[in-house]
Amino acid sequence: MEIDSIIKKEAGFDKTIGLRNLLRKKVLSKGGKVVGSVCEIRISPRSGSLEGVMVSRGPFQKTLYIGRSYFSHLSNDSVILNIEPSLLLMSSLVVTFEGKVIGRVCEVSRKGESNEIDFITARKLFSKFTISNSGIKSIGKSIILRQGYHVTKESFWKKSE
Amino acid sequence: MLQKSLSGRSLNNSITSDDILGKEVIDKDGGFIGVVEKVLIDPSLLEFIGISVDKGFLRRGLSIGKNYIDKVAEHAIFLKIPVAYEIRGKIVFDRDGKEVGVVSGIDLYGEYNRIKNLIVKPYSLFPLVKEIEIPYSYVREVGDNVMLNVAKSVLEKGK
Repeated sequence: MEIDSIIKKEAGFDKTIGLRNLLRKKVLSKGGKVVGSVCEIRISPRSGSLEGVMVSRGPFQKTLYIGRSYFSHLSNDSVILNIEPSLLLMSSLVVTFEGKVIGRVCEVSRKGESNEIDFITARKLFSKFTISNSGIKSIGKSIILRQGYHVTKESFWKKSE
Repeated sequence: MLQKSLSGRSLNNSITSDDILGKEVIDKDGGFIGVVEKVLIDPSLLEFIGISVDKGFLRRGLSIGKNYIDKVAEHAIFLKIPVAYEIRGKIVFDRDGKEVGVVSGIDLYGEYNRIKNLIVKPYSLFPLVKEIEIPYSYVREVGDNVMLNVAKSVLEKGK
């Protein structure tokens, strides 16, 4: 398509991507996890720049709004993030330093609206455990806790042990 | 039960095969690999050389050398490495997030845990489509899936 451009300091037409092309495209985390698909693109009314995208995650999941500082790469095929969204840790296994599985993540509490974890809550049968960010050694397929970290246990018949 | 010792040194801090067998094996990424079914011992040196892991029903077992073991904890064995074979079945995305295919096999450097090439089965309507060999240097990140640092067109040119 031949077009005439009227630009000053902005990137040329061929260096930009059409917002319409991004709609319904996949959003991938840093490690390739499919987070969802783009359902809305949000721009700043003042600067006109892209501020973030709304990500639809399926019929029973809350829609996510992801800010552009968490984007690594935008293309006509997908939005690739530079993070593993901490909200996707739900139902991951929590394992102590000694290898004991203490439960599955049932709640992720973040610092403000950022991706940084404040604490997580894990659940196993009737017990609930609260683990602060400082107690987490590594996050991968499961969450491994630091050596000597004392897990706060709450039972439904007895709040905070 | 109290036992007499004829070892020439204190064996109080040693662990036995019972402390290893039947324990879960967890890799560096926190993935559960399987359960220890055998402790491997060198017959001439009489030294512990590794473990054999049962990965479950109808899945091939895996032997892991002792150098890849991080620690033997109370409830599990932790590895220092993400197990290379666990990459099989993951979806491969190119630099732009375009789907390339699924990892159907891997090519290792000898018997080390280092991947030389990924064998990827492209998505296609035809079942007999040729697999692509992707050098591991093209891999940017491995997580839930595999992210490449090259575009799909580069892989198609290399076919």
